Amino acid sequence: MALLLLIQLLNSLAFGMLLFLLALGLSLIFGVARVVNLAHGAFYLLGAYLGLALTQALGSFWVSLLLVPLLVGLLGVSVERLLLRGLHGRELEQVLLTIGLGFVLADLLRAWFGASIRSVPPPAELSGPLILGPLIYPKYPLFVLATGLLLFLLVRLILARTPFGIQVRAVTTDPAMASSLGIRPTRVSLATFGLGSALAGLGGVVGAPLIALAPGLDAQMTLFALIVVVIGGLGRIEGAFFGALLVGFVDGFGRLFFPQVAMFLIFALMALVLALRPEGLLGRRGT
Amino acid sequence: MMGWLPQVVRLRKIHPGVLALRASLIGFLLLPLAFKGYFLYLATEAALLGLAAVALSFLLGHGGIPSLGQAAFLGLGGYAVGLAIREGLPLGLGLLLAPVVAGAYGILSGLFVFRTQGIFVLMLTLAFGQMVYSAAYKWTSLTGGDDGLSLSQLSVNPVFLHVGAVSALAVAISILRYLLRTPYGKTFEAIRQSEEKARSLGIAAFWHKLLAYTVAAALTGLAGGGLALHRTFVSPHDLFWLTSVVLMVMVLLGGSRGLWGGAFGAILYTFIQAWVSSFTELWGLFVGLLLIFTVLFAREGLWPILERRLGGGNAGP
Amino acid sequence: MPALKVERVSKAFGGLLALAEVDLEVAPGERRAVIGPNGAGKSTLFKIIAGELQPTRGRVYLQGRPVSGLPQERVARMGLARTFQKSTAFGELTVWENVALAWKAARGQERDFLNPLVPEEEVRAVLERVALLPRAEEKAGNLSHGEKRQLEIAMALVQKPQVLLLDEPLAGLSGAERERMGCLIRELDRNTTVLLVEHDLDYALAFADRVAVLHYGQIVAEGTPEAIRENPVVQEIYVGKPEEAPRGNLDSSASRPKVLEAVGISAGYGSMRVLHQVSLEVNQGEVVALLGRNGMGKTTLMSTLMGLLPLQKGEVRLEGRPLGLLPPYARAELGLALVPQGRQMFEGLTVEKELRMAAWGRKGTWTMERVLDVFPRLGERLKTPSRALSGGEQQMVAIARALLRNPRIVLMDEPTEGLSPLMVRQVAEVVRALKAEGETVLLAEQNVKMALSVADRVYILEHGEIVWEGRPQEATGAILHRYLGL
Repeated sequence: MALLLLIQLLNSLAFGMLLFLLALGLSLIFGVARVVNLAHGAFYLLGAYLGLALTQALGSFWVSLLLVPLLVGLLGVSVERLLLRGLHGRELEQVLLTIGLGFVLADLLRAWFGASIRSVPPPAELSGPLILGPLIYPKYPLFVLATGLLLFLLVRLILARTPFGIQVRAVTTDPAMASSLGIRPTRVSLATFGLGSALAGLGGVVGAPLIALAPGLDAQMTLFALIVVVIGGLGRIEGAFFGALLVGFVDGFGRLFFPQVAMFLIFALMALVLALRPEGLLGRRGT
Repeated sequence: MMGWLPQVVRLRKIHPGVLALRASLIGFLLLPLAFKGYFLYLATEAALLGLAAVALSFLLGHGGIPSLGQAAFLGLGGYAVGLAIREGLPLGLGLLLAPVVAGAYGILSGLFVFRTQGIFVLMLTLAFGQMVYSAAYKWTSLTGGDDGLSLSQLSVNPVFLHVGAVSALAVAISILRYLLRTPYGKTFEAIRQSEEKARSLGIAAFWHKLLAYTVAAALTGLAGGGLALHRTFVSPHDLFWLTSVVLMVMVLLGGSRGLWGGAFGAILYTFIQAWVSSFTELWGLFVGLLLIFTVLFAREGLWPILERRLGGGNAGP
Repeated sequence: MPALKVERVSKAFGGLLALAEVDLEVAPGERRAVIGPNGAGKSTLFKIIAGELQPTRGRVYLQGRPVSGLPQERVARMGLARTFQKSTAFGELTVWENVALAWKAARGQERDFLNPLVPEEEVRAVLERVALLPRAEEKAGNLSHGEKRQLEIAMALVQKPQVLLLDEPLAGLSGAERERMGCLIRELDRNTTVLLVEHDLDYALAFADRVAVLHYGQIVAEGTPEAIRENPVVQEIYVGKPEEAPRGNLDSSASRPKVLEAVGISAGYGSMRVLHQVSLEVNQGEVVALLGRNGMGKTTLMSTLMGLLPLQKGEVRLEGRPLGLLPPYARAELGLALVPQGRQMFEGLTVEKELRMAAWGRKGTWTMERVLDVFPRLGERLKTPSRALSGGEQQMVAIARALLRNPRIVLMDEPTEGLSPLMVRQVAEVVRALKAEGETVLLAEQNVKMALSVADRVYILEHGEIVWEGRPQEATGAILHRYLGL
């Protein structure tokens, strides 16, 4: 029994880290560009399919791991520049635009890659089990876990130390004052959108061996990312991290012990947080 | 009398062009009665979805409430009718239960929703909608889960259903438009424009919005009940947030102010979607492009443009 | 029984105490004015009375009934009406609909869903009284600023309140409009108790039966208008202690190049015009002070110069080059630097990060080392989060930020606001040091004494217009009292 729990724990952690990759991007985009990007899940799916295609074409998982986020990031930048820029300040319309974009992207992917469920094998180096005494656990989810942790630390470092990171934080807190100090909010916004989208794409490549690809996955992942960000707090990466872990746990253990109500519980939790503490569990009050 | 404000108290003058436009919308919906078959089927679908779209238009365009959870009310209405039929209750009772159940969920969720503003309302209604979806999906003993609830043992005369649907739509539009001229409706609009100011005048904005939300939920529930009869099938898929998005597309496409736009959007969407699905499976692509197009180029919606063209620039809501 | 009683009300926002033990009793039918400098807590007080905010401590009583803790709609129902500083009528509804709704709401009939909204006699009467009858069918959003203020009053009057809170009713109004509004308010029903916050001190003192003066969240004086005028404490708050002639600087700036020039600027918020045809100039190496009571337009002018507020008319030129509608970051790149009102520290950044961010990409004589030389205290606090610093230290950071951009001109917006007298002296020292280094400064200040002691030239703003210009020595007591005192 304890072994079962441990395995479920590891599963939840791995899934949680995957969610974190997604939620991080969404949170950054909201914090800086003030856009709730509901196409995020579609970017994930794009990353996943692109990863699959590139890995097959180039023969290396690792190369596509590098390339795909770049490509998806570029797409994000174009979207911001071409479509969202004109809707500056109109939150509802921006959200609707991203919803539309998500639909378009998802259907294009379905047209290109087909509607059947694709399970993606992990790369050779990471497939197979890890044996630690009585525990036999597949290597790949551990890789996902490690990636998530690594990125958490990396992004935190970027935000804390680099000039870009500081600018991101300044623009998130006080765009007017940041502008008065010579920081271009639009440029920061663009870069953040690119980074956020790239993270979603990365999530897709990393997540594909974990979660089979199928139409409808984009909507699911968007919802999950949204839930994590809402619970953890919009615009805060610690919030995205712990929120993702929480949702990962609730989902994982929920499926195990309360399969009937797990989904319901997650949405109920989201609703509760939104209604009672809209800034998120780790968020700060105020705009 | 009040000679100083001539226009107001007399009968509202509607430009004949606009009147004709509105009449032709209703006329279009009644046309299929002559043709029956698939055309009639689509028209009934359009009328019922139109009812839901009009309710959302009331909320969004006039109250500024961006609800992305209307599918829940649609589905609740559908399941209310479906389950009523399955339990052997008379049809009329089922149709009565639909708005009641949906309205009750409206009150329940509204109590939470209206504690927040703006984008959070959108997300919160989405969450509440998904809660109902997951309940419908998982509670297989009650709802049949993913397999859905079949009502094929029922046979409602399609003509009867259609006339009922169109009448309900027309009546709903009339009632809601009248409501918008009363103090209640004007206050609702005022709250959208400046909630702070409204509250400083003594208006309890929270309860005011909750009431409107409940009414809209009930209307949407009724539409859902009708849809259940129409399609003879209720499935959790109808409750997925995709449906809420579709309703929003209808409202945006048609025009969120004035309510007629909602009906127009529903008709437009239903028929275009039927046409598009006849040659491609990429229905999501179509909805997405439509949404992007509407947001970028037709923010006000298409109906106001038509009304302006035909009404000589004097068509107000 | 007093119509309104505020009992030991305190309000804290996090660590900041906005109101401290405020006691107020207003008799029925009384006209009470509440005055005080910026940040004194006047609008916080109003919000607490109206129920928009809850007091941290203390209570509010309306006609003897406790209202603190009740939501603002309940308080409104109990007989309180208020006008807002920013006109907040319902823009898409017509003028008469606005008033009719206010009337219906006051009678609890706003939920009437059976009868259409029609203009009743009462509505007509009120509209006539505020002279808006001819505009009754116009959409409220299309009204001029003055008309919107009239509508604001109409909506308050039609509620037949027992207590009326007027929040700067004359703000942004031009001469004739001020007259009209002033008359309207004076002629209010004597049964209504009126509480007025106004920056137009002449009007406030002429209008009121009694005056209360708020400073740093406390009532520092209360009495009849005459008594307040004579009160030395109040004088000092507004004008500063009468002292020896301000030193200023004697060398002429005639031959210096112009750094910043504003030509005929008109600007405001929405339809509200705050600045009218403002022209000024700042030459190289000068410290130019912009004086004026609050509400007169100083911050609006600074915001417009920095590009944070769009210009409606006129031009701003930096070294001869017109800035047009350039956004703030473009102006920052060209050499404008702002030390904003309220300091505006960034959440979550340390002092060092703030400074490095400001310095990023800018080369010049102001390096981190040099700045830390001038502000040694900051050197000790580099790793402290900027928001955790004291007001004075934050002010140093804000000034340092501006300097690190090696600007052509530093715009300082009320740097001494909220600072202790010691810190005020330090800020004055810093400005003198900057001048010694050859920097060019435009300083908007409410602290007259401090400004006169550092400035080469002075402008005085009143109601959005430059009403006086000259050297500090020329700013005699008479002039100061006329424009800045009581």
